[in-house]
Amino acid sequence: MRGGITWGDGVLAVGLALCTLGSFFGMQYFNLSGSTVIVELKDLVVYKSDLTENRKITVRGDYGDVRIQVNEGRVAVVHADCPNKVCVRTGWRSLAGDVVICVPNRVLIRIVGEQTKHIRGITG
Amino acid sequence: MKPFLLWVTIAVSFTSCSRDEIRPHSRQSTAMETYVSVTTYDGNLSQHDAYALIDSAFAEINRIEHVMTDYSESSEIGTINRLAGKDTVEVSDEVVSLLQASLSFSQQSAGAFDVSIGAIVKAWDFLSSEPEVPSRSKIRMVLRLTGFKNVMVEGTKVFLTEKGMRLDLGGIAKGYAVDRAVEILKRNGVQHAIVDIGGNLGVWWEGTRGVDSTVAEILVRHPRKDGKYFGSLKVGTAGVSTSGDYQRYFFHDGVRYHHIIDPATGYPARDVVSVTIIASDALNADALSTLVFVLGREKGMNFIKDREGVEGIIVWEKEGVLHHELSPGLQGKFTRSDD
Repeated sequence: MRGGITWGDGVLAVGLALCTLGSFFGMQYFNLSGSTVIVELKDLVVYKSDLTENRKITVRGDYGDVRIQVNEGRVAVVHADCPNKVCVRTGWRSLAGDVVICVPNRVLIRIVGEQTKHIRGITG
Repeated sequence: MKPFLLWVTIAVSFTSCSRDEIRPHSRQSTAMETYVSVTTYDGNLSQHDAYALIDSAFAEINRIEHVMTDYSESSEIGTINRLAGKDTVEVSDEVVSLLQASLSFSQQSAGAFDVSIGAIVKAWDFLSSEPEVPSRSKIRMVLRLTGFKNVMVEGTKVFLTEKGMRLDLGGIAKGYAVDRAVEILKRNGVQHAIVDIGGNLGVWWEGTRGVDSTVAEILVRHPRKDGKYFGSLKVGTAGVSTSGDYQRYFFHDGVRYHHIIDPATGYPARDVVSVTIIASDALNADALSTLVFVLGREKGMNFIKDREGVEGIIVWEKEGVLHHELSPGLQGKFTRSDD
């Protein structure tokens, strides 16, 4: 058997390196959107779904209904029976780590994905 | 295996391992009228220990809310407000310390940051279901009830000189609570964590500091596009906070009225649309983001530049286009996203 690097080794090495770099930087910089939406009522998970599945969810809290819409990878509270409607005014959220919250009804909507395994915070 | 291939294999394995070692443990809930998230990233912490410590951090945040809220007349701040113009109130060292920090920010900014703004905030009532623009006479009236020089702190006694005056710690209490939660984690041996109270972030990463480190990626929310981010930067141990005109607002006759009120005029500050501050701790970041927002673009950036260890991003809007300015220490460290 001959020693040294063959042409095949080179192709394999470059391929592996590209895959590694691609997945690393892809995770870091390009794929920020979440993949799953989790709805919690009073700290208990009441709903979990793929963020790409369009649907409408209604959760009943202490002040009444909280209507949630999942649409094209985004989620928003479209109606809430609560005094201040901060959750409705929050608008659409799509980033992994994002949350929408209805404090009076204690409804928490979280977006999670591979990115939430990374060290990341969202400000604003 | 050939040497070259062996090194490639090791490099690939190392990259995969380093990601797995993060091992985040996270819990989200509600407090202080917003969401709270506490995450630890210690590889050597068992799941049980991590969640026990996270629960301790939440308990501390809830305790602070109980002390600082102005929604309850029986909290320490609620009691000061209830007895405004009538009586002195004995408070805890913790409240004194926070009030003194607040008054110091007021003095440094000639009142751009003012915790005696409670009467104005109540007049606008951004948390009501249908907020309205208060009448000019109402604004004139509540302006007379605003002024940090009328907040008397002597030892542990606090007195508001005018009846109807109200303290509102909304511009500083969340940052303080973030710092306290981080402190709980730190004292119990956690080496890596992020505490988030409504976008007020406390990053704790042992051995790192501010924008000189690149441990945690911070996304800055887009001021005009729901669900998008404006840009990102990386930090080590730091407090990060953003004040924006898009966080609590309503439109009236086509004009945006938002919750960051200029204590001098009683109306929303208009010069910029968002300010992000990176400071040594979350208390400073929280207070300074509001303060700089009120000061506006030029004075605000000068204020940031004058303070060591403080960096900032100021975003403003001109003819529907967003522009931003970075403080000197952030040059080359902030990546703006494609709008």
